[in-house]
Amino acid sequence: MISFDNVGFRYGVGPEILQDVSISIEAGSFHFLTGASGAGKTTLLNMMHLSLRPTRGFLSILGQDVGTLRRAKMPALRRQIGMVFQDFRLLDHMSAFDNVALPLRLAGQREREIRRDVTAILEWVGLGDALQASPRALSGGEQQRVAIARAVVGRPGILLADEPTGSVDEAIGQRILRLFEELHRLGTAIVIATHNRSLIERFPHARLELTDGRLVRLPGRAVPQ
Amino acid sequence: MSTLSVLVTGLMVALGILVLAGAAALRHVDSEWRHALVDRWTVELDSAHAADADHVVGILQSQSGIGEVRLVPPDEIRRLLQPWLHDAALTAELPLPVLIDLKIDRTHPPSEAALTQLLSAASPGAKLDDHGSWTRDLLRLAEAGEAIGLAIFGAIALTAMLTVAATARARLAVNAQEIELLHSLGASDGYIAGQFQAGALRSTSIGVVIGTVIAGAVVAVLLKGAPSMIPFISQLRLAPIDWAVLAAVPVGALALAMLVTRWTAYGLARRLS
Repeated sequence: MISFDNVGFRYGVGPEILQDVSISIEAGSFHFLTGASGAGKTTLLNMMHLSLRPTRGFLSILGQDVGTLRRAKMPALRRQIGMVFQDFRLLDHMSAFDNVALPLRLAGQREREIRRDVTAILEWVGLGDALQASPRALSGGEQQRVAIARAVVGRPGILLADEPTGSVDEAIGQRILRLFEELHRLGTAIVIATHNRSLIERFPHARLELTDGRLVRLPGRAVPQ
Repeated sequence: MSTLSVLVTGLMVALGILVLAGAAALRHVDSEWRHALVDRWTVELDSAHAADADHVVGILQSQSGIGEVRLVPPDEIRRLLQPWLHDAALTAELPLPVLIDLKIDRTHPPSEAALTQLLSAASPGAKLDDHGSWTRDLLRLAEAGEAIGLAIFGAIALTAMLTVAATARARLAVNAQEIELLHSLGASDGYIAGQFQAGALRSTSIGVVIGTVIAGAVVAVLLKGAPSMIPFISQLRLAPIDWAVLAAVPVGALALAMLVTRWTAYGLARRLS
């Protein structure tokens, strides 16, 4: 689904912050992306989300060469990738329902289907009674779940999450990761950038460790049932 | 768009309509003056030769190209002088010239030089005035007014376009994070530009309606009241084609605003991604 081959990236004329990244994210896989703050996790996620293009190397997403991808094709490709932002990025002037409905409206889905799908996904994340709530009226954990609902409502093949548990407590963090696990079981490839090691250790998934701009894949740990 | 933007839009539309209406009205005044004066000549006999009046009238009536000859009564001459002299007693005492009003056949006018020669022979000092010297200045003034009106309309249209573009830029800058989010969710530049256009359509429409209503009221008042307020204008009117052009101003303004908004939003959405 996503393939990096000797990819490097630098901002402007600054130092190369990602070097020789070669990794393949397969369909239905689950990876934690770890590394110290400033290691380049968000940059790597942004490249997977087509917000940044590599300054060297080859990057392919859903079979498309990102280096030669035409701008007009990007929106359709982005709609196949769900993204959960660290800061949620919910639109305060819209209700939770409308925030989650945005990707479907962008995809041109019919309003009746949107109502059905958005209601179902908000119920799934435990916010069935907050459809019309303003994001400002929701707690941090609830806002994060709205953001997750928005990322997955279009049933993307890939789900990227940037520190999805960064601003919630341990219990909510675990609940959010359970949601990701459910999605994973439904066949979605998941990459979660996090530095919350205690949380990672509770799940058996493989890790991508970023150190000094280089990426190393580590096998998942055995987790006692 | 803020209330201020709505008011600016309304003001621009109102100014545009008023300036165009003024230019069109001036064109009709110009035309009216041409028609009223081009076929009217005046013969003036010195007061010392007032006795030649009937003789001169007879000569003029026999000339081809002159449709109507009218000896202007002294009372009417005094009335014409009244606004300049402001003293009825003075005009009553003044020796008045004899004025003969001629209606000229516009298609076959008489030779001005030949007629002048004939009048000189009939009454020494007789003058023929075709009103050209001052009507030409008035007509030039009207034409200049019309041209200036059109130039101002162009300037207003340009200012309106720049204002719309600046407003769209400001709104996009304020919503840069939202645009980034929409891009990341898979929105195309065209979709984002369309959203801004839809928002601008609502507020611009309100401004356009306000401006049209204000301008319509002012035009109606001017058309009715201008003759009593403006010298040398007996009536102010607009032809059906002028009304059609004025009606096109708000529609055109709206279309232009939408085009400029979309164009600006599209360009900025591309740059913000």
